[in-house]
Amino acid sequence: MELEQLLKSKVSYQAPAALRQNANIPDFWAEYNRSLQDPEAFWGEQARQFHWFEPFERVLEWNFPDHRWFLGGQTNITYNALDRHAKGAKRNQVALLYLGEDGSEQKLTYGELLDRVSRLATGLKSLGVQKGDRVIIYMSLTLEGVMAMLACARIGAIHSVVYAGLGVSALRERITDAGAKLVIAGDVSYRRGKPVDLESIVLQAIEDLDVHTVWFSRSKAVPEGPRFHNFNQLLWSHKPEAEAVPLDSEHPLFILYTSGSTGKPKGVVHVHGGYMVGTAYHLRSFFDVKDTDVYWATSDIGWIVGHSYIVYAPLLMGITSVLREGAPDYPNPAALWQAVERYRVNVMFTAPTAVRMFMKFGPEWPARHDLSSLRFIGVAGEPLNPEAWQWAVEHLMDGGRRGFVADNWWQTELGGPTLGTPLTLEGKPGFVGVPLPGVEAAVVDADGNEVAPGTGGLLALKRPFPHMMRTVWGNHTRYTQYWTEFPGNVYAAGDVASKTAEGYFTVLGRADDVLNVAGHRIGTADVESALVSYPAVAEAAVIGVPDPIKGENIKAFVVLRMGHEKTEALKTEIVQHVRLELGPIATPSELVFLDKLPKTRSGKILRRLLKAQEMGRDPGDLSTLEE
Amino acid sequence: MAQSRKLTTVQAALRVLAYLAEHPEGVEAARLAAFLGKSLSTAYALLASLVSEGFAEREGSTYRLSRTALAPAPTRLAEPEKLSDALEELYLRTRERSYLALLNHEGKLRLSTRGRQGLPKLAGLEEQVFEGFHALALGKAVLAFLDAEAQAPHLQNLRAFTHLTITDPLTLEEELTKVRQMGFAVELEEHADGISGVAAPIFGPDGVVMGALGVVVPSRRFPYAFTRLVQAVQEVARAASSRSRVEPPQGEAKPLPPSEPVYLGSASEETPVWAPKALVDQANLQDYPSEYRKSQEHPEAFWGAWAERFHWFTPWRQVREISPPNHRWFVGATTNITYNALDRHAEGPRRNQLALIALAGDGNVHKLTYRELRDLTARLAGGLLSLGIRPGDRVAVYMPTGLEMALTFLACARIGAVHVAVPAGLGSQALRERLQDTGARLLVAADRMYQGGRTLHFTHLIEEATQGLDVPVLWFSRGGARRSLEFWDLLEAHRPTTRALPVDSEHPLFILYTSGSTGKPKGVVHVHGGYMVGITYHLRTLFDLKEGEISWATADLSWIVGHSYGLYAPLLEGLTTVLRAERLDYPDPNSFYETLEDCGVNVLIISPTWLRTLRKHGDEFAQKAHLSDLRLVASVGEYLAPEVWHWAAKHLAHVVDNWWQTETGGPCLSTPLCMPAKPGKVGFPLPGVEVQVVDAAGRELPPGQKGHLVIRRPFPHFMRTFWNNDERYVEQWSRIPGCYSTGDIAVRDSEGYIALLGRSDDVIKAGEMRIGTAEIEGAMLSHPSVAEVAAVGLANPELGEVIKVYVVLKTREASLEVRTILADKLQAHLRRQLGSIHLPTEVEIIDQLPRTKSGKILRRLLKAQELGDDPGDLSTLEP
Repeated sequence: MELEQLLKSKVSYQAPAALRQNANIPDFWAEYNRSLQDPEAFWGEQARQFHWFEPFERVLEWNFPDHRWFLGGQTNITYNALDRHAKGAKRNQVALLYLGEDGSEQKLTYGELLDRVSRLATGLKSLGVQKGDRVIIYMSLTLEGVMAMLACARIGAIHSVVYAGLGVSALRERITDAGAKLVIAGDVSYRRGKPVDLESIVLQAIEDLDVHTVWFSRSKAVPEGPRFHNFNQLLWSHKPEAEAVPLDSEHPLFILYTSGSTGKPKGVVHVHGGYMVGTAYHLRSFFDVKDTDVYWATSDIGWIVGHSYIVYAPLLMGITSVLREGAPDYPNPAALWQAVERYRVNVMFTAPTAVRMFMKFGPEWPARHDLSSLRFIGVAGEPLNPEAWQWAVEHLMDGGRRGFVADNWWQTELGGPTLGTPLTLEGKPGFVGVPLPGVEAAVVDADGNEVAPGTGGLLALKRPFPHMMRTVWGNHTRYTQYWTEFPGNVYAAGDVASKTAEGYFTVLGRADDVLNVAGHRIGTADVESALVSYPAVAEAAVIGVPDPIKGENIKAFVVLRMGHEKTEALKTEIVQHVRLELGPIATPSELVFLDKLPKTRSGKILRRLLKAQEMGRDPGDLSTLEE
Repeated sequence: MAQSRKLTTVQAALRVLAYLAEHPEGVEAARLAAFLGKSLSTAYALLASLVSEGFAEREGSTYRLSRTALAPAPTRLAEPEKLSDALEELYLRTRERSYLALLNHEGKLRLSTRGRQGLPKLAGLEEQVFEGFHALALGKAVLAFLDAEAQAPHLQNLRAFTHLTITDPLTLEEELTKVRQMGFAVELEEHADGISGVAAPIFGPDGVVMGALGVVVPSRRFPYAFTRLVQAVQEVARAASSRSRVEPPQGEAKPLPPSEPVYLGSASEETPVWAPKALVDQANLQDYPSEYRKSQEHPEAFWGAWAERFHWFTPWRQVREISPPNHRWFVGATTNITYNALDRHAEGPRRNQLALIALAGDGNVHKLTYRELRDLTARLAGGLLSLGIRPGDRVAVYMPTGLEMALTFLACARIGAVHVAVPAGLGSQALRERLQDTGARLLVAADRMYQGGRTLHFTHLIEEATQGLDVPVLWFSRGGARRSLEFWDLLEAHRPTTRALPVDSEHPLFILYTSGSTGKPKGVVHVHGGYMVGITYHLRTLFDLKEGEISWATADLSWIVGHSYGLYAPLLEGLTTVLRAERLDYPDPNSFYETLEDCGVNVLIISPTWLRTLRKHGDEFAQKAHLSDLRLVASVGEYLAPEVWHWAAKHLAHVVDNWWQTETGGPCLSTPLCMPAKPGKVGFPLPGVEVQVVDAAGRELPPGQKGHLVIRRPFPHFMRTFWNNDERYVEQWSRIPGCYSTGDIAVRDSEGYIALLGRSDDVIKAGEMRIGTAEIEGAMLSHPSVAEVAAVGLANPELGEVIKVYVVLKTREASLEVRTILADKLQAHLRRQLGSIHLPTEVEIIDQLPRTKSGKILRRLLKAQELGDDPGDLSTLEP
């Protein structure tokens, strides 16, 4: 839908009255205004709901562009996520519910999860892992993956989960950038009923590196050698002795790498205190989660949504969080809905690409199951097109009579929902919603001036909030760039957006050379450098082409070195090479050989020209947005 | 009892030899086969090889022990020139700590020893020993052959070195008689804990005893080394003697002095033990005496207040209505136990809390939240309705402990059907009887069960039991088999919409047949209302469960402990219960501790039988486990001996012994945490329960006097009747006038602690004495060699009854000879422990005790086998 049409659209949805009346935040605007008028009181109040070994003295120190929260406070996110519940009435409540594609289930109660995490943390200490050490986790969506994250956090080590699907060079780059001394890895992940090899990727990635590895092996034996350890042995041979170490509020909790336009992935750093307070706040206020809900975020622990809304926030809130390994449409397109019925899921969090996939399968699949428990679906990752929104409301929410579909926008850097449609406001298809409490957002031009309503511009945030990143690991300058890209001391999100007079935002796409494939940010530079690392490739350019399900697909243009034939076999080989280097999600779906790439006089590759040609558009159309 | 199922060839051969030795007149092969419990051909094969090896001789069809085998072994040892050479010789032959003790003119023993580092020594002994002859094998070997005058000073002061030292003169006299008969003396930890030994006398040229030669070894090795040591000691001592002794004339067996009634003496009184302070301080019940008083003075207010905690569709008009012996509670109210056990929680804060963790025999683990358990129950309930099951219909359940069985109970209760659990493994005839007695409309049955590494198949048994009866079977099939009516298919075919049916408080919930250890099974009936109220009261006040805790009742779900505390009470209280199908020590004893640790069990409800078994497996398993969550162990089902109490308290957690029956639904006697426990005594009547120890006329007996344990008035969770047998119920209330006879014998001490002494039909009347089997068994268990024990009374025309005690030793490999010695030792120990040496007792060492499936020792069977009687209904015997 074109922007202008969108802005004129009058269609809107409302959540059912019962839902609005029982909302955790009944008066959104009052809450929002308070959060901006007195942020310290607002966030301080949220923070005091948690356990602090040492109470904080000040809520915020804003020393542009650096921000620190809950100064002087000491806490540990795992104490609040585990011990608080395990030592209270929720000890035997299910904390995590793991589902396999085959319908198998594993449950861990808060008591059991604390026991396992504490054992594993003791085991990690025995391997010499100490406070502040970085640990890479390369595991699929499993209970063991979550345990690994929590065990690190418990002893103050910094975890960095790498999506188990990224390739050799992506993994190796992250291990070295983080300076990790330990990698916790799975030997396989299971998808579409088959094991997918992870072991060989890890073994190649750590070749010559001075790291130890811990293996969660489900398919093969743990590799032999003094630097290879067995996950289960490490867990069960230790007693649950490791207590949650009191840590400064600003102690790093994790590094999560995200793609940028520069080619080198950025290690976004989040910390124990602010991240805990902010992500939990939005789970309660935005996702409107209740104490006894079963909650299911369909993401993966390899992404920020998995960190915040599979692992940390649900556990902090003491609810039951579902994780399902494998493909959402396997063994059949109703697999998810079957699980929703079986486990009486109340709140879901999924991505537009998934909604579009369900659309493709048709409404008969969800219709087979009793979805009466489901009352809220949050959707984030990329713009949710109105058709998908409409379909979800119609077929998953009984035409809106039973529940609400809430679009929201955020990024790895932002930790939790930033723009979104709270269920007490009207949902407007094509619009992600309004800035959420704590967030002051604007659409600006390149000079940092706010543009008029209805005009396209760049999305900017005017102040930090507790769960916003603190730095880029090992590259604070890169962090400063976010805040200095435009004049006016604002954070540049890197997205193109527009806003209505009532304050509803629409986010249209990336402003930089970053692709959004099925909700995952992929830098064109990453893919291009993987392409040129293949010996036969001289030059390469990558663009995103629209895809009805995934949002965007990767299309690569390649110029070969002299003496290489443009054969189909070579195409396949090059694509395979990228797959190995970066993983399946960053693999081009199409590859074209060109004799030369279009370039500016200064030698810069004109990707927008390639894209315009591809889309059959006049390349001048997008110039105002891109430059 | 000579019969044993599993005999190795060597064991069988030894038994044959022993039997032949007992029958010098000769024995026929058929008789031997019967004796061994083996086929005739096996007996022939055994005998043939014994003959060919020269151990036995054959004459016509009879066999007897070979004369050459009977002849004394030739003395291979050259007579040593000096006695010190004998010591050296003994050491070289045994490689054990050896002693030479020589009597000097003062009547002291001068000791010299030979051994090497690492061998134990008799600690604390001077070179010259005068005191403590009675505790040493060396001393006894000498003492036995001294004349009365020389003996006398040694019999004056019989000091106890260990609790096994023989300290009374008559027992010592018996012991010395045996030394004279056998020619050697044995010391079993009588002088020092952990050390045992044998010794043989050395005689001078005049045939007068001049000293002894002996060896000591650690007790744990003693049974294995025994035969070798005795042989060496005797041979060396004989060779060292200048001449063999003169056989003293065998004294006539002295008649036993007339016996007098004895009671548990104050000597065996234990010091009361408090639970750890934190447990006492946080106990749910803080003031037992006032709580008890309240329950007695205002029972209606007391039980009414507790009942208010539950949901009633319509309230009661009256808390109780008693017209003895019948009683009704919460009259006029409607409720449903599953509404309170499931729906209440599934719709509230416990929606996602685990209700149960079921560890199936095939290794599957099911963890179900309250919401899930409610939905599965509702689906199965819908399935039962579709099969035509209506309120009041009986549904028999023949399944191993696990999720499916729990669901069946709950689904029945949800629609007002009455579940009748029949222990899986029970024979087809017994199952059939129960189906017929209850008029069951449906049988829910498993086709197999996995236990101890074996698969027990039930298909054929069930088909046999239901043949010709109009009872359809709902199958829970495993291992791929599919039948027309399948448990999970039926469940999956129904939506979770069947609600809990409001039923009258007095509507029957289940029928449970009491285990067969006391004759023909009786169907005890419990109801929705009172049972729900009563069992939860005790869960909280006695078992002390708190919010968020996990309890594990190890009993099979088909027993009352499983019904009340494996399923209903923990669910009613919104806790998490663990169900485990497998034996606690399969595949190894670790698995018991692993379940405790992995599930984070806080309160364990277990039987003394299992505690004894775990104790037998050894301490190292418990020491390895991380049991920080476990804070209380409740023991129920049998008498809990003090040794076992202390073991469990040391290695698991504080022990709450408690006594109850299928008929009482929940605990009746126990020691709440706010009172100190006296191990071996179960404790006090619990709130709501009025019990007395009475004589046959129903008159209360003073403290210290044994009598019948009776219940004076019913409480909410007390059974309503026996199914189809009201007369039997009335009879139970009239056997002793004005009260309900529990059938148990008990004694109350001056502080009010009650000790159970055994079933009244297990009580032994020996002479004037009445003594409970539990009392005897407890005494026997205090001996370090004893693992398990069962006592029965055998009719004896002169003495009334003789106490026969069957003992299972900790070391099973003990030879026949050691067994004989130990049997004598144990007999002496028993008499000493019971405080009377006049008791006619007999000890037999066997390999295994027959037990019911619930773990109760089948004393009835032992007795029947001894007397050649019909053992009666053995349907509940463990296979």
